[in-house]
Amino acid sequence: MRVKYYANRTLLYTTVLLVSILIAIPFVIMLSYSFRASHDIFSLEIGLFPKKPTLAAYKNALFNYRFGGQGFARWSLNSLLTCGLATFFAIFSAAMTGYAISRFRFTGKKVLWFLIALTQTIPWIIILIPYYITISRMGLANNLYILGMTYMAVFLPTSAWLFVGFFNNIPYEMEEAAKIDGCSPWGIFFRIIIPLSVTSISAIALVAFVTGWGDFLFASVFLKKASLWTLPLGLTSFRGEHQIQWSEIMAMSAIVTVPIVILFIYLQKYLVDLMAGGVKQ
Amino acid sequence: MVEISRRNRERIVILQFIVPSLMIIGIFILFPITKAITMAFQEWILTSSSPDHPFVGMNNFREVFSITHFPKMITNTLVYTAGSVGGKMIVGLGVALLLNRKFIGRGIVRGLMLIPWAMPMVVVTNVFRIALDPSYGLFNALLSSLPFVDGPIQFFSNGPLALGTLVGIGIWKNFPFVSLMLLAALQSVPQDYYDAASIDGAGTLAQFRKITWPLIKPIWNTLMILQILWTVKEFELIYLITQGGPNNGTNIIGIDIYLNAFRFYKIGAANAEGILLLLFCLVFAIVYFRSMHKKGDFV
Repeated sequence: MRVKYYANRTLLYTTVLLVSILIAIPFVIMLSYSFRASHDIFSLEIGLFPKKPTLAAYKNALFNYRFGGQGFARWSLNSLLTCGLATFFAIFSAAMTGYAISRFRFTGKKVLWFLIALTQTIPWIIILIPYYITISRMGLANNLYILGMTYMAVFLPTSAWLFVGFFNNIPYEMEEAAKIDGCSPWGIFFRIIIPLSVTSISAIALVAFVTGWGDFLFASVFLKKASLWTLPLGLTSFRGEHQIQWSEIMAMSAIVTVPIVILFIYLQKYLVDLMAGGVKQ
Repeated sequence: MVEISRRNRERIVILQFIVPSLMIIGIFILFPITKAITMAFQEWILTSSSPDHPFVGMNNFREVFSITHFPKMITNTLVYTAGSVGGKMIVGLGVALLLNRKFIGRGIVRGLMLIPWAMPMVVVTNVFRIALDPSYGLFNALLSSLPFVDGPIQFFSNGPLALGTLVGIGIWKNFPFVSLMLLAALQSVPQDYYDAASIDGAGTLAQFRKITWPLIKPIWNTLMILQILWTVKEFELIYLITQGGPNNGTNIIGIDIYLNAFRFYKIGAANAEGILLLLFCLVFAIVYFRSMHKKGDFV
């Protein structure tokens, strides 16, 4: 009996270890390359851990790398501003719509809900073509505001979908009490609902923000000038170079990824609950 | 002044709550979709300066069907979607079942799963392109040091292997989402059920078939539909690694639309393909919507 127990445990832990390695290895490889000097990579050093770790690649990626006269500072600023503003407006409208769908009765609610479910699943590439033709005719290509507005529209349906699931899971009693005390729907929404759900709202905002933070599709079509680029475009610019700077690419990738991973891990409980709430509907 | 009735006041408040979203969806999503549908039936020659685009019936569709790589592209799309979704669901379930057991370090493994989910696709493609590179790739170097592997593997030089590799990368990136959702469902199954089944002498497999599976099946189905919708339109993962090559071996519909529109400037054909993709998605979106509805607590 004991032997069987230990055999069982050993098997379990071996599987767990293998699965963990498979999940983490690309991330570890990224970090491993980023701490090497460029020439090390060409000398094909097989070990996962660099023998002489250095921060040179980080320094180069942050300050020295230039494409079309622009570098990391400009691209990260562009990314932060476009995605940040788009997230703010999308979350704001999505929260209101999610609340309305979850709490109010009105005609056309089913249609609105279907519209959100549909737009959430639509392949963005379909709207990209007419969209691009329209904005370039209007002379609005190469414009970060337009990209921001597009992101806002892209973030909105998924956020609204998550908000509906979230609001459905919070009990109605408190709002009822406030209603009896004469609080208006707006008062209830802003003074009770919003303050109560700050963490979940930040988790939904994170999901939205990350969608734009990693977007290549829209940015690659909209932005031709390097001064307007967002980080994903900066990250893909390395490949046109004569000598590909692997360490620098991985260093910049790490800078783009690590904060997001930390936020995801920090908010994991809320993220999973929200997504599960959305899927369960 | 006319007194606004209570009912109307309520209506105005509700309208205020939904108007911003309606405007955004209308202007930025519904309008382009209608335009895309019209464009699929119009002639679009970008080089001509003429502002009008005559309707040409099904010509764009005929053009799409006559592209020599069209059957290959559709096969690729279906193979990619089936392989990727199947992989994500099965690996996702396996890891969810593993994480549903008690062991030391469970929280850490669950934390690790957020890495692929959080990693932007641009970064994922960069990492895999480098790690799998035949001359400098760490992963390839590790593989070649194994006894039965003959030299570095050219992962992206022949169609089927490239497509398979991309399916694998897609699974790695997206199975954690499926896993975490299934895990949430698994954890809501009361332990009593399993205890009772154990007393009755049911083995692990019987317990899974009779208790676990029926209880997680609705969520499994919803997840699968969502994954199909999210996978069939895959673009960045493939475009940033192979751009649909070699020789259209990894060309799936999302890539083909992008290339037709923004590289070959065949706007009409690209839109016609877009409509095909839209119809495919619409079918699954309706299935998804109806499955949401059946559960009742909505609307």
